[in-house]
Amino acid sequence: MSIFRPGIGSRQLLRLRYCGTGRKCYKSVMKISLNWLTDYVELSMSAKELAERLTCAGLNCEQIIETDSDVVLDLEVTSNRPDCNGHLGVAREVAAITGARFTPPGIGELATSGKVENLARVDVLEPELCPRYTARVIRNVKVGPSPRWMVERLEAVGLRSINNVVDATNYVLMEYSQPLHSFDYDKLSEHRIVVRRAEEGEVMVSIDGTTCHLDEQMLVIADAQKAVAIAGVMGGLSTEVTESTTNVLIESAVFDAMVTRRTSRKLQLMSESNFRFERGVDPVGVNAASLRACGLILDLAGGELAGGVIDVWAKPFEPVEVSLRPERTNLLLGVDIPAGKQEAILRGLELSPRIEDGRIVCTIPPHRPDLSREVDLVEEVARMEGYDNIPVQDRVTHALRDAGGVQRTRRRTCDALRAVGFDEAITPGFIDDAEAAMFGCREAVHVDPLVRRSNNALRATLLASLLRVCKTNQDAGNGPVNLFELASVFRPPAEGQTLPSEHWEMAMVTSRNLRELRGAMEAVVAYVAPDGRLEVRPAEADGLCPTASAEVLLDGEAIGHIGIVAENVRDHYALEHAPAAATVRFDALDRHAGAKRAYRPVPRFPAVRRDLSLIVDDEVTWSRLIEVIAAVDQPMRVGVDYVTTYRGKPIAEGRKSITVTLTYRWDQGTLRSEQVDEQVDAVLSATAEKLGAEVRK
Amino acid sequence: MDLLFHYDDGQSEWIELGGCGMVDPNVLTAVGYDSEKYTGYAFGLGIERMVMRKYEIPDIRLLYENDVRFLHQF
Repeated sequence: MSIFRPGIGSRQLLRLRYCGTGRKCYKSVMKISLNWLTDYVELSMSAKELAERLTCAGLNCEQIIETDSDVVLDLEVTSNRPDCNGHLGVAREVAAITGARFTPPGIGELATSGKVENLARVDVLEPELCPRYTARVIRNVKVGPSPRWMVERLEAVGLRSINNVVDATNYVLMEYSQPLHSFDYDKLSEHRIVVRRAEEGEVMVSIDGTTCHLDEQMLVIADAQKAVAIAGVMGGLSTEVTESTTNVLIESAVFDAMVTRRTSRKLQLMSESNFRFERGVDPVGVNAASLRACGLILDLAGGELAGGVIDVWAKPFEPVEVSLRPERTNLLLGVDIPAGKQEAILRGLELSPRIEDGRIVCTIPPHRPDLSREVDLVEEVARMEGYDNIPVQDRVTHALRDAGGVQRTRRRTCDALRAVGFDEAITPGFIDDAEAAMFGCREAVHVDPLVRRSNNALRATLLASLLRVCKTNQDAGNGPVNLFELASVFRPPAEGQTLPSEHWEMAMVTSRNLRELRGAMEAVVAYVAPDGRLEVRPAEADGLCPTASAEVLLDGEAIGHIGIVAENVRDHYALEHAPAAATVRFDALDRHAGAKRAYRPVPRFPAVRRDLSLIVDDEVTWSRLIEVIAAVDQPMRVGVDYVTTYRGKPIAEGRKSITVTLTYRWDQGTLRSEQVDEQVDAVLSATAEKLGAEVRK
Repeated sequence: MDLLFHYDDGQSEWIELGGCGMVDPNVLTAVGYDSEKYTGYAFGLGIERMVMRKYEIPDIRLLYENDVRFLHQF
């Protein structure tokens, strides 16, 4: 790796530091209190060293926060490690890394009275969406403030204390990463729990006071009459545990990740709870978490726990086995870790390894749903060995390939654009719907509006972005601008496609006039695709002025537009002057750029040039004129070039004079004047016949 | 992935530049490689911070504002 040269300073990098697991996962930050962590595992090192070790094992520590009595680590938890969204999961990691003993909280035998089955009933109507639901009931609790230690721990991890019952469930959330909910038992109609889909139009007020309009796609917890919680997302206000509550029902369950996510996004309700269900919870840990919460409530709020548990669990957990070839680990990592050591590492992670035919067979515990393939076990070994301990090989053989194809065309295009005086802009890829519509894209491609609320349309043209830049420069009091950008643009999926269509566009915006822009664009195209025949034909285009816009064609294929920016667009960006703008499909340009170039002999004999001023009707365009001239078959004619256009006296109204230069050359000898005259006459008669052209004297 | 940079002035610093890691076998399979036979190492670097240090640009937003007085300097 060290041959990579960043081009800064005189020496290259010395060392690579690996962070994270290398997986591209959505990360979240979990606050871990070290006081709390020591309940389950002994910490034999400083916070700084622990942070470093966790980072090297894939739990990136972003920050160490020291308070008077505690130290809190901000850990970046990747979405494949839902177990580490709780202190127990992190304690397990610490134990595996350091070899210290992991001690889960002791719950012990809880005294009970009566039977929960006689107090409540649970019906799960959607077992696919709620694979497990457990309920316990505690009677005669005394709801009140939590003790100081509880308040401090919750605050250390960013939670506010509510009351002793709610705090106990939140405490277990931060311990087991298992969301729990406590209902006021007496407010549950018929003391029933029904897990069902919401009814269309059903309304429930959540504990944060939001009125939620539910639909059939959402899963709710209901009592005999109404929805009392949005499954996995948030509880309802009507059954909230308050100061006056005496009996509580404790829910600990598993809800489907997708339905929880959809519901949370649709209702715009985010909680610690849905965050965890979206990533997956431990289906076996559900019961332990429930018992733990009940134990805490009995300690903090008193009361009597009803015996047993209502546990609706259609498909109990069956552990899977995954096997690892120790040599595969060494091959993938480029290390040499003996099989015995790999086995020990996997044992430290509670994967119960055993050796079978040279393979290490692991039994995956329920809190590690991320381990399903051999490569996942390789990663576990790599993490525990420490990414920093993977040796650096300081010479690596690379096969380099010529930057051919598109990259080469791109570089040539940028060179040409800079040569004609344009500056390269790099702008963000988002615009808003109004802008997309101005440029004819009424159904722009969007990113998730919850991730990006406004300005969330992927641009259908670069012109929108460049016009924003024009405004920036206008506001800065800068003079003329000549800007270009080469980047992807997006349109809705084509017929029969699922992904949006994406292609590269070259866009130019300038405060020069249209003719100058056209010249610049033609120079660029001629440089990049010298064999292509470029035409510009008047045509309307979205966002451009209808009377000053044209279509750009390369060898007859429409590849873009050029024109003056339309008035409504100019007004939208509050520009003082309407710039000239052009867009060209870069992929088309690239297709024409492929041809190999070869030397062409330099002419040995001089050329003869003749200027002609032809008076034609105003409607006759330059491209029509050269079309007529081109139709006159003259092998010696090597050029037809535009010089100027003149309107006004003495030329009649409705007519104009176009001056062209015709160039003739013979490769066998010097042309005589009369040879050229003959050919020019032929051109004149063709233009007279087809266009009614007269020669201006 | 962090890189340690050493500069001409004798200073050095770690700069977090992006992610890196072994390519997931599912990705290899999806693009038609036998993941038993081939492995891949992938890394991606954000170039902004390197450019900022090189040209002493104090604010990353300057790179995306496209003020022509800025663009003309390069």
